[in-house]
Amino acid sequence: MVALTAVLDANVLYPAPLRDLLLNLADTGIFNPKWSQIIQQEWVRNLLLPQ
Amino acid sequence: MRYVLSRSEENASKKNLSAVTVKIEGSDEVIFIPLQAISMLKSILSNMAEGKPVTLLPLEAELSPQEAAAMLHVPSSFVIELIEKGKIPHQTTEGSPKILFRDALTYESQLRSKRRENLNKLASEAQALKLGY
Repeated sequence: MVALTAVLDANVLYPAPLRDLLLNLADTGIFNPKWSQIIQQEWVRNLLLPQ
Repeated sequence: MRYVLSRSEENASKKNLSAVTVKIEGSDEVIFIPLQAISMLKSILSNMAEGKPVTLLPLEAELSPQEAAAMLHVPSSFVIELIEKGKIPHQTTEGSPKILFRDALTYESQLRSKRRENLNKLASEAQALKLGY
């Protein structure tokens, strides 16, 4: 099946509700989510920032 | 050649028939198609109408790691790793590893339920930690 591929940048991976929405949508098969190690490090860094 | 359905699928299921009769126009030939095959044909035709490629495979078909990778939407190096770690059943035919389509389907459904489980875990964790919820 030909599905769209979408790059998820750090700003949609960190607010958790947005991340959960997008990943659950991806799970239905409407698109393939991709992100890089650099994007991964960026959202984790933002998560660990003191609030 | 045109094929005409003599009864609609809906009619057939209302009457609890297990097959539909197809009469080929301009000939005396009549074929019976089981209802299950009708719904399969429907999905094949709608996929074709959307321009998506359609492949029919027997469950016992042997897939190369590349073919299994395409089916699972993962890199083929990942499939080779699964084979080497014994995480997916395989057999070696003429020196190259092959995966049964049946086993690839099983792996896919395990992958899917694992993914569902992890997504749910992730969401409840984020809610418990009040991460924006």
